[in-house]
Amino acid sequence: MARDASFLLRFAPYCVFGCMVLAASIVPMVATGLPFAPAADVIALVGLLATARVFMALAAMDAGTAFGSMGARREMLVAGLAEPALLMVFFMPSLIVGSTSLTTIVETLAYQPFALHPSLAFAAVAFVMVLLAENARIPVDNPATHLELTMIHEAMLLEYSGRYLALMEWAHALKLMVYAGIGIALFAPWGVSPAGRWDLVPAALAALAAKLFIGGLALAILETVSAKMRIFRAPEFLGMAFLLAVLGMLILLLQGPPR
Amino acid sequence: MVFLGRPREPGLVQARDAGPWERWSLAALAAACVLLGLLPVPVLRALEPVAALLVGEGIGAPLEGGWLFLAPVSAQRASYSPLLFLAVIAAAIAGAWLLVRHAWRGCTRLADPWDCGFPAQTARMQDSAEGFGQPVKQIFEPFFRIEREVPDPFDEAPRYAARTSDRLWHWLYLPVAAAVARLSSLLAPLQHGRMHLYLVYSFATLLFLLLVIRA
Amino acid sequence: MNALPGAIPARLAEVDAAGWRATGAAVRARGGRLLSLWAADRRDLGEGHVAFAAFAGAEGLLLLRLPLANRDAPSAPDLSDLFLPAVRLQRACTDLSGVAFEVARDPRPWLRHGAWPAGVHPLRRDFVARQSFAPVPDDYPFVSVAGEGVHEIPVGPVHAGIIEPGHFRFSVLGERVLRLEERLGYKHKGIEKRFETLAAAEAHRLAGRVSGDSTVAVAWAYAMALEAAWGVQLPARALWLRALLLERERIANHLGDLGMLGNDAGLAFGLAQFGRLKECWLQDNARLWCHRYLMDAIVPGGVGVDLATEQHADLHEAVTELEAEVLELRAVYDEHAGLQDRFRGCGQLSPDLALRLGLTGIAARASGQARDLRVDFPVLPWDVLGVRACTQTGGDVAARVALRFDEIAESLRLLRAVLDDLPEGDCRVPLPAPRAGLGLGWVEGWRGEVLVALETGADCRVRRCHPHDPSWQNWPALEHAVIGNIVPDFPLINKSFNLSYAGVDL
Repeated sequence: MARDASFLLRFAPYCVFGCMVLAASIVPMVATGLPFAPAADVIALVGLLATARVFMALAAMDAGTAFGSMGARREMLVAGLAEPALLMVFFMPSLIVGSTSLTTIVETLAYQPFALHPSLAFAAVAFVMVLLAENARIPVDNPATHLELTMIHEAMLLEYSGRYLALMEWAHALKLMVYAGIGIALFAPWGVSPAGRWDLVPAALAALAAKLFIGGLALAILETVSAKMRIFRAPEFLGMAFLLAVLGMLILLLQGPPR
Repeated sequence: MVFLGRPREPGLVQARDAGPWERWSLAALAAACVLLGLLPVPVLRALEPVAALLVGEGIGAPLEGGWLFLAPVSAQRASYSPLLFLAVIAAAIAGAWLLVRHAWRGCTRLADPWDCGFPAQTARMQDSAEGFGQPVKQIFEPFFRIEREVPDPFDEAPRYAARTSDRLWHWLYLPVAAAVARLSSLLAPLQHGRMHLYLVYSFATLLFLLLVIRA
Repeated sequence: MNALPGAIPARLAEVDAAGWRATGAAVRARGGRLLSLWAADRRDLGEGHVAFAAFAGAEGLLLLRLPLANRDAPSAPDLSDLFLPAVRLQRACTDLSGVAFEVARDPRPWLRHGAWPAGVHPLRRDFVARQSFAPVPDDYPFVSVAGEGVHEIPVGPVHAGIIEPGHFRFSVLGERVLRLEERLGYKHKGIEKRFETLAAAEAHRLAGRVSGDSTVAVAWAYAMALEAAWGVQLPARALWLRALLLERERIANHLGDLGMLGNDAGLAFGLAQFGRLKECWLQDNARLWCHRYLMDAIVPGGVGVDLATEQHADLHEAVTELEAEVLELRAVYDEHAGLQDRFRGCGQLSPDLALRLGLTGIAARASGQARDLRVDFPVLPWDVLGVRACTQTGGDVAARVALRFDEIAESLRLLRAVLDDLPEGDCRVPLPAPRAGLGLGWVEGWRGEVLVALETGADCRVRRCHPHDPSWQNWPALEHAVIGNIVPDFPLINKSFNLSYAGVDL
């Protein structure tokens, strides 16, 4: 721990971790009808992720080193651009279903008769782009790099060690899981067990494992074949995500009013 | 942007923090934001008569979920419970803290922050406000007019200067201001600051108006 | 002016202080470059200090020798206004030998970091190497950029990766780099002092360890200098085998650099593939020459290990395999949009600036300076092999990457030619009895031209040996190349130059 840091540096890991735990508990990955789900919809979820990020950036600047503030500066840049795109992505299924509650979206999409939503395809692509940017993956950030000057996420964690680092890393892994969960819930919700049906939970778990495996494989392939982009290409990248989401929304509006 | 509070320039050594009363107003605004975020329903209830007065109808539905849940249309479509939200976060934080306390018994070793093995760190090595905002500024650079003086690597006493202004200022406001200035300079000869001339102006205007009414 | 012995055309001229500057100006006017600059202490021989400067021109090497009058506080005229590389060379010379340079623009120490006090000069003959000093506080004044909001990022000397130590001070505004200042010297080990305690016939081992990745180049340059000083004639086979080793070293380093460049741009695939190729290459080195990086393969008088005829087929096969794989990977690099986006226009160094800075080696050739000792002064075996110069004009990271690919292809061609036409005969000749002499060795290593100036004493020892790494010329270029780029691109630019720290810190 840095000697001249304030309580923020110690508090931030718990706060970030807490936010991620709550986020994980409102995303219906296995079953709908989660106890905390009514507390927050997707918009609140975005706010929750932002809260975690703000604390992380504050903690990074707290130690007062050049690298911490450098990471915070870049994270804020990426986050500021990723957030509107993420909101846009969320609006699309909400418009289709007519609700911003994740549970309702999943229930509607998973159990309704099969219907093609071309706009969801746009949203899915945009969501993957936001996922890569927000989780410090290639091509926006390189989680494996040792070069301090190129880091974004890792630069913010430079001052952490021991349990705090473990919490931060855990929270980071949870964040990726939450994003994967959101992606699955929005774009591939089949197999999620409805509220109160405990007998379907094992099947839902198996489906989730399969979906996560496929997602992880896709992520690994994507990261292997692409290079990290220059940091000022990130706005173009995320701008494209935003545009894709808007395009999807336009298509949805052209299709007709939501049912 | 000052985090450790060390002065970056010699002139700032005498700088002092804002007093408690100066800070109080900011703190009050911040507290109001937090309160509004945590307890939206009572605030909305208090505002309902105003809305009813203006549009003839109350907000109605959002307030039906009780004071804990805010549901703009119906709980099916969207709901939000800030207090529950906060409680879960707080519980998760406390849980994490207890878990860590339980799993890990040791004390944290305090050390100098990572300096890459170069101990002579100064206040110049922290981000400045300009530095922190630079990436965003660079992205939106087409919207600004920036005049930069960038140092050359051969310079022995390099210096950097940048002047940022709004493009709109040059395209819209400055031409308008120039037009106004030109117009007023054309009218300036009318004003001589002598009382009898102004009386003549009033007299001429009166005559003109009388003629108009007559006609 | 008299010619120095050896294959490389070299002349020696003794000048006075006025001639020192006048010759420098004349060399510059004719398009020559300053290669290196050092001083020797000859007070024990009843003389004073002597300053040396080595220039490279169209006719070959010119070595200037300037005896300095003052025995205790010698000073020589400044050359840094004529040749930019002189700035750091003179600062190092002042630190080590105590030779002051009049009206030098930058009087700050370069190698002295506080390990020894000011006024003590380790390269003087009366300096006792086995003494230690209390550390002196090191308050090096970096150049600071004035202006509102300008802040600094200090990086190094300890880096997070396994790389050599050096401090980089960035003056930045956010991500915009306004100035970069390097501070090297963290790896100063006193190699030049150590040379003076070694027998000349054995010091090639130390020369081979000046900079581990250029061991063949430096050892060859040392051997060349010694053979010139002692008048040794090498058999053709020895020279051909040395060429084989040098090209193997070039290929190994270029493979490693290409992999690292891919990795620094976030393409781990490149690192994995090139890492595999380099590893196989190094394992072949270990099998045939008993050392992965070919240390001690070159010895004065020839090469240490001969190549058996039955190994030719193996090596041929390895060359063919590598050629195919590198071609395939080059296509991957060239067609990868994300990678090319990072490489193109990054760390650009214009040909004009490259000329002005007096660059050498890969950095010069990537900025349009066709400069290769193997082409410009084709002594045996290069004249028979017929080296084709590779040049790129872009001056950016992409150009340095493309140049490395070109050079690998050319080196593979040379390897094949060496294996096809390797002359028969001895690969090593015995050395004559030691004698006092002066010799120069000049070799185009993978990074650029390596110069070794060697003075042997009558007592079989090295009297003064100055190994010069091409990084001396190229390090300042990095400070220019990074301007106008953003902070996170620096590692990529740095890697595209891949300069030696150990080679200049000595």
